[in-house]
Amino acid sequence: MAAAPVIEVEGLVKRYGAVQALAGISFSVAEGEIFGFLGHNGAGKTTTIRVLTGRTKPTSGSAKVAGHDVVSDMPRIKPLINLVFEDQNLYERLTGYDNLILFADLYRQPHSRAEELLSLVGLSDAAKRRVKTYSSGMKQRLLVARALINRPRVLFLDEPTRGLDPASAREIRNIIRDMSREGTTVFLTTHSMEEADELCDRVAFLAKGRIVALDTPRELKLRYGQRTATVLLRDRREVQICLDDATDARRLAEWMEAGEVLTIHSNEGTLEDVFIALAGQPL
Amino acid sequence: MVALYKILAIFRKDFRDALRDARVLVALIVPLGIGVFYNLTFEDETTPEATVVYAAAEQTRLPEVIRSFVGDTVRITFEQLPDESEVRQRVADEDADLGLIVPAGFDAAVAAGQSPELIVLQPPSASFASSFVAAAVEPAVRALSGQQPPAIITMEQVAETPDEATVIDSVGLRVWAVMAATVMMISMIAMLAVPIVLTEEVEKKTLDALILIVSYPEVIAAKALLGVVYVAVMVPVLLLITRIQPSDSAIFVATVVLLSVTLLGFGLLMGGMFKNANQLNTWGGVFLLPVIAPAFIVGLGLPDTIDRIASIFPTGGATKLLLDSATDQRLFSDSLTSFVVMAVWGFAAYALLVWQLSRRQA
Repeated sequence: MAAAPVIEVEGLVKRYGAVQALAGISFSVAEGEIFGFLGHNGAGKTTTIRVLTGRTKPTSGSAKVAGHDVVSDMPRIKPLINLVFEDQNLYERLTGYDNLILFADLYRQPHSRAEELLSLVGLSDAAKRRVKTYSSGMKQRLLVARALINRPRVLFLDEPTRGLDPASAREIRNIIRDMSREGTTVFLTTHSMEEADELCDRVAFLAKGRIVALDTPRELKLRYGQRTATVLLRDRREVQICLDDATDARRLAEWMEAGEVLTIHSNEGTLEDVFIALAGQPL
Repeated sequence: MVALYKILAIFRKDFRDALRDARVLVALIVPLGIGVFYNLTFEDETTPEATVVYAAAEQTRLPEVIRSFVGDTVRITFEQLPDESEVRQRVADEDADLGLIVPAGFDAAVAAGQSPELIVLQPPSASFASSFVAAAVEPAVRALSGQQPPAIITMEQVAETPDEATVIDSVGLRVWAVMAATVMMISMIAMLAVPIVLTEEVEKKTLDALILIVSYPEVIAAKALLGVVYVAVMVPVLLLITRIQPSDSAIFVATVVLLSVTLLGFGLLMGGMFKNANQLNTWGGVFLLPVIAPAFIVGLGLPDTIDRIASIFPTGGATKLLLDSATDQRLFSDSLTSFVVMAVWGFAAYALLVWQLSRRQA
């Protein structure tokens, strides 16, 4: 990759007593990249975020964010990052505006930033309402707004669309995409393969604390998908052909010359197929 | 590194947010209500009072002389009425504790040794004050006649021996109760209201969001500041409502501050131990009982052992200091010990808190 890494993880291990949450993972994330971290519950996704955001210390290995070590130099990292939590951890008795004002004060941002973000996530009209009256989608948008209050260089998102209706999930994805376009590095954990496929420049599959695959969604699908295509013929027959087979290539050429082909769909597979192939079971 | 602006930002949020929490409001208002209730229920005055009505055709020095014999034992009020029938009526109605019918020329006749008749009227059920004043009439009349008393009898109300005398006898039940309620108020703010705010941050995981940019010591400092401000607002409100003005403001303020800081240490420690605020609200009472109890034991005149045990608690020591500061009297001789007791508990609380924080950060 051309851009310098903004997250660098090397041999990261985290144990909680006898439980090994991370078993020596290594990866790097480039500036401005949307990096997806996928895995089952308990695979180590949230633990990785906890280490990278300074909320837990690694057992061994090293991790750097924006060039600073997460163990020894966390105070320098804190102003540069933010996180959309898996839980909707908002102050429910306060208004949406007051929730943002608290963090604007903590990050030493002007209060106008809160208004700007409420507008960005479409909550200007509900700004003066208490958060406990918000729908789940509105709370999630407020969480995203809170995470953007300090214009973070690295934005961590832990299952940002979990439990949201398709329309709300779409809005959140659009915001993430916009942030990335503006240069924010996005570290995204998700259960949704479609979301990862749609948003991420690269994805890492995590299973039992280990990274089992890491590449762009397209490369992973090509690498682990089938090299076949389904051909629908004029007589409504569906025929599977192998892309590496010379006989199938000649058959396809004949059908095309005869004008028999209605559609051709490649069977490159989905990220879900890739994950099943690697982790042994679906997400 | 602790940043003041971060502490103030969290404090401002807590101050607005916590007041909307019914559990916190209860912790603030209950002790205030109890203090006000005690204030209205208990009387300060321990000196008995007597109203003496009299009818005199001419001016007489008798009331003045009787007052000099009664001294401070009974707070006496004389009221001159126009005629004998009105005096009799007031005494019969028990509107007065004693009645005197003084004939015309009484003072002169007594001085001339003529033995004029003086009628002393007692109500159907005479009080201690009534009998005490009645007993002073004869020596007063003797004095009016110019007789030298065979002996100068000085009546003193002897103070009870230290073992028997209670602080309540000295300061009055009202002051004692309001000072105990003050300690209760500080305890409930420090060990219930503030821990609820902290535990709720843990429970709702809002603490995780704060920790992204602030440190644990900054969060703890903000919560401690919240407790101190609640105390700084609520204690003066209690004093204002009960109209109690401490005689020694310096001791009073020093005690309130030291007790608040000490108990906040324990409260914040407790806040970090519970998983949710409702659990804390439920169990908080169990923790509060031994903390508040010493405040209501000190001054009751219980056996020495119990009093000593109460005094080793910060609330026991604080109550002693508050009672001392509330009156002109020095009721307890161990003021310094009381301050030391609070300081030692405070040191222990914050040492444990630092240990807890370092574990959390690790």
